[in-house]
Amino acid sequence: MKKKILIVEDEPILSDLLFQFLNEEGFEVKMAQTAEEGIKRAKEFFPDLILLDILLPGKSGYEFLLEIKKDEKLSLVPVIVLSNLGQEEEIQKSLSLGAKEHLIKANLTLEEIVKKIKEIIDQEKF
Amino acid sequence: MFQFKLQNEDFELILDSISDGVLILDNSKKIIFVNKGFCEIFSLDKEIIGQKFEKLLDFEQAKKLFFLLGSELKETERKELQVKDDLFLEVSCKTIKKGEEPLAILILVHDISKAKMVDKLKTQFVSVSAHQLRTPLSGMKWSIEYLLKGKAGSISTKQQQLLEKVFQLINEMTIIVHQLLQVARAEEGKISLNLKKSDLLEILYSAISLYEAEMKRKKIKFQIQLPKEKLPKIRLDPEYMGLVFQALLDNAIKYNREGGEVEIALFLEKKEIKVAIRDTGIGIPEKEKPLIFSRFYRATNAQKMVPSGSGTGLFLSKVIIEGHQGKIWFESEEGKGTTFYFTLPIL
Repeated sequence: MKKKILIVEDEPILSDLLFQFLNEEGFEVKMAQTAEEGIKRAKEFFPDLILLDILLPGKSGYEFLLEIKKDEKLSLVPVIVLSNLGQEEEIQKSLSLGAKEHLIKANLTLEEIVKKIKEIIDQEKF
Repeated sequence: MFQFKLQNEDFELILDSISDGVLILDNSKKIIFVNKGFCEIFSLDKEIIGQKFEKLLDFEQAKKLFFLLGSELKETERKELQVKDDLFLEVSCKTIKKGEEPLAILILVHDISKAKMVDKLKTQFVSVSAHQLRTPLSGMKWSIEYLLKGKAGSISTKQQQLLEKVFQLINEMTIIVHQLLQVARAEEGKISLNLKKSDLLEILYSAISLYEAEMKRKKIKFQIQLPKEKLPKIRLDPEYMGLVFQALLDNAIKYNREGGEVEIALFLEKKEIKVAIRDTGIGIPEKEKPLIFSRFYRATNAQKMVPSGSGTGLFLSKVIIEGHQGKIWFESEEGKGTTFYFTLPIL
């Protein structure tokens, strides 16, 4: 069965590229442009992993992490923060709010992101 | 010729008309004069005249000035002092002599809050711009990657070569943005080192590997000298130390002549490891030596030889090495070459 990924990203060019690439890599992908929409989608879609941006219109990615923590089922879904914020305290904040990883978009290729996604989904199996 | 002598009250009038703070003490450290500017900066009044310097301890803000200069009133030249969240001062303290005899002690205080604020805004601007630049860079990088993988249709060999070049340039730009962010962080005093026991040689070799191709292209004779004893692992931040090696190697190669030499030597000393990176490059002009570690500064001969460059490498290296409680310095002769040294304590 295809693994399900939810992308929460407001920049269309980035979310479109991620969407296409992940689709072609065999994932089932859904997108959301805001944290609020992301929560709604996550509840309907119940993904295997969430790719989350931090700087979003309205609620931030950090608030998204806080929200899903409160939901018994969603709190189990692994989240990779994929942001262009990358200072030490920003990374620490993501991790302390429960994200599995905090990655900097500009430093990674799509292929490296997919590798990371697979690694984390594999870890979650056990 | 017209001449007149100023009376004491004239001096007071003149000194009261400037916004800088002036405080004068006699040799027994008794306050003999204070101007209006000083009173305003430190929220006190002229009744302090006649009191000992220690009296400043009774005033919340002036207390900080006392701690800066100490009861011995040490000679100070334009030292920065933060008195409140939004009040930054530059303080100088000097003994005035009449012939050989000390006459009085002069304390000058200049409000630099506005300049600090502008500097802070500038730093924030660099930080925000760097973050903003990363988004289009990610978009470009991923799009090119997508094209290179042939996912948007097949591409010719020539197109492939050009796209690979663009991909490489995007990566270079990403590094520059990263460096700009680090500089902005360092300016805000926010560089936070993640210290862990690490192998300095491993970090050095990984930095060298980035420059092997460039050294080959420039026919640089490269040598590395290690101490006989095995280097102990020391507490450092591997990522930041990598940046220091990269900055120093980059300069040693970039500003070297074709067929020149680069030599790295490591010394194991009692309490520290010393690293020397020697090159046979253009050297640093004598006049510019004091400026070489300044942020964004590039020596004039370096700018001439390589017009592009951010001037952040040495500034960051200094911040990083000092953050590790080490020291960094250099010896250089224009036209002959430069050796950068730094030490790291064995902790």
